[in-house]
Amino acid sequence: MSEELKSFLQGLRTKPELLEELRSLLGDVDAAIRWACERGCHLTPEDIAEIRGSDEELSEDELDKVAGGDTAWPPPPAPPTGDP
Amino acid sequence: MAATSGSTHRGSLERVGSALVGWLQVASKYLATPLCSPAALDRLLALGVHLPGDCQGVLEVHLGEGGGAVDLSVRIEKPGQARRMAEQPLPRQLRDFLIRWSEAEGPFSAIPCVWLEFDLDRPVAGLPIPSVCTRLPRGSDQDWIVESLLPALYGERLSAARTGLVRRCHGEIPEEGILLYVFGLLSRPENPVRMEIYGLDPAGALAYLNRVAPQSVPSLAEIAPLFEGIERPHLSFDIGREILPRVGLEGSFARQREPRWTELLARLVTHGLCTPEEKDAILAWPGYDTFWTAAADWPLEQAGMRGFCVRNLSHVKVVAQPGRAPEAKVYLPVSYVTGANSPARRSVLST
Repeated sequence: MSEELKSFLQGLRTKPELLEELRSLLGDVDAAIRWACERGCHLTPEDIAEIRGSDEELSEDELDKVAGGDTAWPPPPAPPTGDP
Repeated sequence: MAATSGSTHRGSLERVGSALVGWLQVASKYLATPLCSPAALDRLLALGVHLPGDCQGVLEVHLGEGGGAVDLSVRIEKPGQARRMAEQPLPRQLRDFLIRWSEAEGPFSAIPCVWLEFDLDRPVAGLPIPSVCTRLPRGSDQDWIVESLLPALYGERLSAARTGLVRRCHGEIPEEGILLYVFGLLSRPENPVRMEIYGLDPAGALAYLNRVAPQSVPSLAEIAPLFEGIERPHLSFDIGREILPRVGLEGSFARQREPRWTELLARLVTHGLCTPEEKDAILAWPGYDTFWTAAADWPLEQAGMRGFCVRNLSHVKVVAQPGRAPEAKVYLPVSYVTGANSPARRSVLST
């Protein structure tokens, strides 16, 4: 993360309405760059890509996989293989 | 999350970050009363400063009237984490053990993970002495446990009497059970050994205890019905100069959101072990935050914008001993993970 982006976000992090404005512009890189520029920050397309990459979600399956406590709970003991 | 062999374990989502306190801070908004008193939160955050942010932390929440106390455990699953913890002012034998565990060819490299458990029943000044919990490799040899592992955890050989008790309790485990964890309770009086056995249903646990510690059977019988239908049952008990009367039974379900959690917690409420408010707060706990949902608290400096601060529901435990009312606890993990970079994934879990 560039220092410019980090500094910009530090200023925005306590301003939810501005964060939502930025978030709504992430589909249009030029518009997002202009919006940041109007607020004194010169972001690059790479910065916008970094921001977009952070806006993702987890599925329920993924939440289960992160899992609780000890994620590698053992399965029940394996049944006999039936090998001779 | 799949485990791999040896002491390095990695799932499809990777944990990163520099100090656990950042993620505890993000999760703290879900930790208000009734689960965590303001004083307990202060202690959690004070401890979290000393713990690696790429480790999973687990909040041990004490339930019931007068609850609000919370302890904290941290899971060490990578050699680098162990080496960083070994630089902390921990008891000498524990630092030595962590270093040896981190060595790929060392005698403990097959141990999948090590837990450090910090009791937070008093204000935190520096790093408290933790208890240490080792997850045993499948099929661990009894001689290795009593001759190598336990002496490493305690910094000395256990007495012959205590070694004999450990051997007997291990030898009596029926085929359907596995000795999954061995603890060195270094923070408790007399530093007992804790054995935690996986896979015995309540009836099986009662039958087992009847063989090794019949004096504890009435206590276990009192709490066993709470866990009817549970998945992944664990039985634990402690060995000091003798087998101590306190027993613990715990269980969980594989899925975070399923009705049996509600049923289990409702049984605790019915028996006065959990308040209705705690039950509701526990069921509301699983979920996650991103920078976008927790921007004000997000540790931008250490983690950047990406990733998830995930809150899970691990398991419920009830402990019982003669002459005291049973106590219930719930274990709530907090982890920071990255690696799920698919914008197409959308779920209703966003908080």
